[in-house]
Formats: sequence, structure tokens, C-alpha cells
Amino acid sequence: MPDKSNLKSAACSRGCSDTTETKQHSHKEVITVGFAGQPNTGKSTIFNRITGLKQHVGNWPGKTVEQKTGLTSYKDVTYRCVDLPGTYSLSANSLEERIARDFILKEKPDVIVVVADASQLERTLYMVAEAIPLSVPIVVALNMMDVAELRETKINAKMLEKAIGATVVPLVASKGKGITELLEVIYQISQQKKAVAPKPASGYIFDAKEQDLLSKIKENINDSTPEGYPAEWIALKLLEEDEEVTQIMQQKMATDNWQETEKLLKEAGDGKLIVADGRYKWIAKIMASTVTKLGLEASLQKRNRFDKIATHPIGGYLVAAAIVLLSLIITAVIAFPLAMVVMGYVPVLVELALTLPGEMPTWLSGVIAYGLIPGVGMGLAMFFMVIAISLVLGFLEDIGYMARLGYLFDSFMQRIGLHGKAFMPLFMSMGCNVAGIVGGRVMDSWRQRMLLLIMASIIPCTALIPITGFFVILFFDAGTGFLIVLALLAATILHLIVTARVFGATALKGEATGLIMELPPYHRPNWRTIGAFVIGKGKEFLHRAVTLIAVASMIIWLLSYFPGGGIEGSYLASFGKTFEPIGQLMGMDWRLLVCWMTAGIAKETALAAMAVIYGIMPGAGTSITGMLVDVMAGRTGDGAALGLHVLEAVSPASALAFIFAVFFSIPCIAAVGVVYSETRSLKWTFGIASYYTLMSIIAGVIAYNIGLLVFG
Amino acid sequence: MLLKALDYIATKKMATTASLADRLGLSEEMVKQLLMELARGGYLDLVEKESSPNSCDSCARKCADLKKSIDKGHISVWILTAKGKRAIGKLS
Repeated sequence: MPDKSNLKSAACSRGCSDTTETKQHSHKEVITVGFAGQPNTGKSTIFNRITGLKQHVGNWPGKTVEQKTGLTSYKDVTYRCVDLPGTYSLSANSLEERIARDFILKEKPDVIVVVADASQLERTLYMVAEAIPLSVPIVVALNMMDVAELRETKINAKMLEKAIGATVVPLVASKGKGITELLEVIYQISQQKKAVAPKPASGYIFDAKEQDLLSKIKENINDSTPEGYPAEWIALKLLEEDEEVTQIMQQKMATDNWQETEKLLKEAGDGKLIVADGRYKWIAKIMASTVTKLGLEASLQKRNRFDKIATHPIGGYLVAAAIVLLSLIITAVIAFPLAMVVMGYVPVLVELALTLPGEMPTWLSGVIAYGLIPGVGMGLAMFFMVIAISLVLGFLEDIGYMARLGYLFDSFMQRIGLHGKAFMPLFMSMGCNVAGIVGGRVMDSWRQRMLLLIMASIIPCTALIPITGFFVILFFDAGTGFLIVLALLAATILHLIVTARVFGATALKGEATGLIMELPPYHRPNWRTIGAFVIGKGKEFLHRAVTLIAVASMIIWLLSYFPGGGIEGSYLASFGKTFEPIGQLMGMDWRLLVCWMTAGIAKETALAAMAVIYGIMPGAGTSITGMLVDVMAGRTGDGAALGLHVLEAVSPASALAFIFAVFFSIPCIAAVGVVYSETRSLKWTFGIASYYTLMSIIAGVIAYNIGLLVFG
Repeated sequence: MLLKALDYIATKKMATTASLADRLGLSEEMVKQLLMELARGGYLDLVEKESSPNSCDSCARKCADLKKSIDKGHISVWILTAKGKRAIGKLS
């Protein structure tokens, strides 16, 4: 805190920003001090500490921007303190920046305190670099030293002082530490006891090439420099293409000189970039010589070592494949035994539903026994799969790995020529295709947007992952299942390439651009966050299981029962048999074909359809629920492969075709609805839905034929 | 430094702030500063929250887990703009 004997906060209740009023103050002289700095550097805290709570708050003359002024005294000197608007720079990009810059240039304060955040010095030194050529005495208030210390950032203030060429005062303004020292420095500068004049900007900040350019510009403008404006600053602003300064100088300078200057500026290229580049080189040098980030550097080094592998064009995919394998193993180990327990109750409940009702019509007991119970049972068995996969995904997301996966995926998308702006929507598609489709609004043109819309739905969403996993585990053993998952990922990549080529040949031409991504830091898993994520996912799925899946199961059963009271002559059979020729291409009979078709509503619906259609087949030996129960009860003979039992109903080649066809089918009815709401075009909606259906059939046909070769 | 950063982004097509920091011999914090500066100048386009315009809200699934991570500011992406490309062209 400031020394109370020397410091008196003397803010005037009527507002003492006016010079006449300040001169009526009892002290001998009034020193004007401006406080400049970026937002959130603690500038106002310092200002409040120095001036006390009673400040004059008004507006800057002719502007709607708030102006705060206050008076204070220290060692018999009165200081008029002015809190300048918080700005990122002292250019004239905004009203606030113009006010801050005009105050320094026109009001010529005796001292400017540039407030810097010690914990983010690289960010806040930019303003110091800008303030130096303004030729006003500068003090750098290095605030938030405590935060810097917490982050294990060590700053050598003395070295920093030498490097900048201005006095540096370390502070913790929130605790009042360093305020008196700051006032002492301001006092000494005002009494001209402390040499503070910064070294000339061009010789100090910029390299020889830029210095030469600035000297040439200065030579041209020297005689025409407006009063009070430093030539150094004018030269920099001309190079930065500052509109206001350019206009002033064009009027002030002789035509020949102006033309010569214009020529120099044109030859220089992008002046804004040159000047900013010079300032950042200067900041980087200062940072390297005066700041040590112990904790951060160490953790970044560790992280970067792993990221070099995790984001490597080849190594990254190997890491991702290993993680996928591990996820599958974890999922199978956790989820499958629990799913089996639930499935074990399904036949018991079916029996109960058939025997208890007594007078209930056959169709009603049938819809409950063979529609509702197997459908919800299958949904509940699937629930454990969702929980296990959510646990893995939540863990990967929480430790920061998912962003690396997104990076890998999108580096591939960049390679096939997709515009950089597509990154975020496609990344979001990994969570939910609907989010990706809506996120496509960021694309600049209609064609790009349409292409993104098509691509977004190819990305496997988090809902598809557990369902695919469930089918894979249902039909195949773990080793084959892993190979199928890899094949699905490879097919997705191929699908994306084909789609980009088919639809993007003209829309994307020459538009691939550079993109840089900040990957989140890795951190220890927060089990509370992961738990909340898993519970959220579980709740969401349970809700769907008891609503969508239950309703779908009952409708499918009713369609499979009426009009004849048996599946063979049912509406469902008629419908399925109509499209059977398409199914035959994929090795699917009408039953499996109907299951595939229902996946277009929502992937989970295929589960319900499977439970109903195969569940009502005569004999436990051929019903999937019955098979699962058999396996659970150890009645499997070799007990190893569930796939062997499923073969009785669905051949492995057909199962493979089914998995591929479901994986690449329409994501869900909600996605199709959003395609319509985004395009407002039935033609596009129908076209896109047809494209997915066609690609789904192609995938099914190819998978079936490969399946025949592999499994016979 | 800024030019090198622009050039690196244009050449690599897809990069991370960590790899750029390695290339320029700077801290990642400093690199982020450069990128923000380039974005302020219009040489890069920062795609962050504006690219997720409550898209999850319109979805029936309400599974906003990914949106949450984006909203937390976990992922920032800077894209080279036409102005950025022109600047590289002018200065190379």
C-alpha cells in the first residue's frame, strides 16, 4: 500500500477532471498520468488503488466511451490520473484505441503507465512496443506477479527494464503490493530524477532492413511532421497504412515527397505485417532473455513429445487404431456380460407375458410378449454397451485426446481438398451429425455448404459407434470384430474421398487452404466430469430405449402380425419381399432387409426390428434372444463363438453386409429433417437421402461378396 | 516471424500451434499471440465458437457433449484467409 504520510487520495466529489479545478488543488503542481493497458490486466485496479474510490466518471469529450479520472497526491505533488480505455493496441482500429492514442499524442501526459500482465507478458508487451515511439515517458506496471508465480513463471524485472528501456515496477495490485513503488517512480520521472526516455524505436525494435525503410520514410516526411507528432511514429503509422495519419500527411507533404513516400510504401509490401512482425520479434527477444516458464515449459515439452506421435501422419493413425482396439476390449469386457444378464430375463418375461393375461386378445399379448419385451430388452442390453463406450469416449475427451483424433481426421480432410472452414462442423459431426449439418452455416458458398452437408453425415456419430459395436459383437468373435471395425473406418475414409471427388470436383477447386489448430492440453482425468458424461449418455439412451425402441418394436411386431396373424403373410413380410431383390444383392433375406431399412429412422430401431423379427421365429435355437440366453447359460457346446449360433439365422457374409449397410445408411430421420430445414429444398433432401441409400447398398453388396470369399 | 508463421500454415495445410512453436523456436503462448495478431489483421480467420451456432440445440438427441467442449474454448482453429495468401505472395 502507498505510504499514507506521503499519499493522499483526493478525488473530487463534483468531478475534478477539469484542469482549472485541478489547479485549485492545494499542492504546488499537477502531473498528468495516463494508465494504458489491455483489458484484464488489472489497469483499473491500479487506478482505483491510486485514486481511491471517489473518482470522476464521465464521457470522453464528444464520445460515448466512459472516462474515469481521479486525483491523488504523493510527496507534495498532485497527480491527475486518467484511466484510458482498455485496448489491445494503440492503433486506430476502434473508438477506444483512437481515444487512448489521441490522449497520449494530444494531451501529452507527463507519464504513461503501461499496465502489463506478468502471467501473459507476451500478450501485453505489444502495447509497450507501440507506446515507445510516442516519445512520452513510460513506466511499465508489471501486474499480477502473484499469478505469474503460481504458474511458475519467473520474470527478471531488472533485465526487462534494460531490454525495454523504461522503468519496470512489479505489482500485485489486487493486494496493493507495489503501488507505493509505482508512485515513487512516477514521482521521480515527474521530477526528472529518473532517466526513462526509451531508446529510438526503429533502432531499438526493428531489424536493419525495416530501420532502413523507416529512415527513408522519415527523411521524406521530416519537414512536414505535424506539431507534437513524433516523426518516428508518423513513419510507422504510414507503413501500417493508418488512414488518419495517411490523410494528414498527404495534405501536409509536398506532392513530390508524398509520391516518393507512396512509392516506398508500395515497394515495402504489406506494411502492417512488417511493423507487427518487427514488434513481435522484439517481444520474442525480450521474452527469451527475461522470462522463464518453469512449470509450463516442462509440461508443454512432455505433451509435445507425445503429440509428435499422436498427430503424426502415420504414427497418429497407429495410436488411434490401438486406442480403438483397447476401447473395444474394454467395452466387451464391461458391457457384454451385463448385457447377457439382462437378455437372460427376456425369455422369462416373455413366458410371463404370455401366461398372465388370460383373457387378453392374442395380438395384444403378442405385442407385449414379442414386441415390447424383446425390443426393450435388446435396448437395455445395449444400454451397457452405451455406458461402456461413453466411459471410454468420456475418458478420452476429458484427458484431451479426442481433439488429436479430430486433428488427424481433419488433416486427412484437408488433404482431399476440403476447405478449412469445414473443420469445426466435421469435428462436431463426430458427436452428432445434426450438429455438423447445422454447423455448415459457416461455409461461404452454397456449393461448399451442400458438400459439407453431405460429408457431415458420413462421419460416424457417437450413437452409431455402440450400435455397430453391438452388432459386431453379436455376430462375430473379438478378433474378427476388430478387423471389421478397422474395415469400417477404412471404408468411411474411402467413402469420404469418393464423395469429395463426386460432389466436390468443382465446388472445392483451388480452395484448399492452410489451417492451424490449438490442441487442448492433456490433463488428469476428472472422474466427476466423466461420470456426469456417462450418466448423461446413459439417461439419454434409456429415454430412447423406453420410447423410440419400445414404440418401434410394437409397431414392427404389429406389422409382422397383421393381417393374417403370422409373419409370413404380414404387412411387414409383403413390404420386405417387395424389396427382396435389393436385399439379395447384399445376401439379406427380407427379414434382415427390413432391419436395415428401419435403421434409417434411427440406428437403434434396427435393434428393435431384429429383436422382434428374429425373436418370433419358432424355437429358442433360432431366435437371437434365445441364442444369447443359451450362451449365457453355458449351453453352447464349445462356448466360444456366439457367431456360430447366429449363423443359424444369419450367415456371416450377410451379417457383414448388414453391418456395413447399416453403418453407411441415412444417419437418422432427425438428420434428414435438418437437411431439409437447412436447404429448404425437397430436391436436395431427397437427393442426399437417396445418395446415402445408394452408398449403403453398394457397401452392403461389396461387404457381402467379401464376406462370401472370407467366410464362405 | 509473422510471415514465417503464415508461410508455415500455408505450406503445411494442417498444423498445430505446438509444431509452429517448434519451427519458430518460440513458446506456444507466444505463437498463440502471433496467431491472434494475424487474425486481428485479417490474415487468418479464427474459427471457434461462431462455428457452433447452438447447432446442438436444434438436435433431437440433446447430446451436447461436444458442444460443451467447444464452448469451454478447448479448440481454436485459425484458417488462412485470401488476404493472408496475398501477403505471403507479396513478401516472398
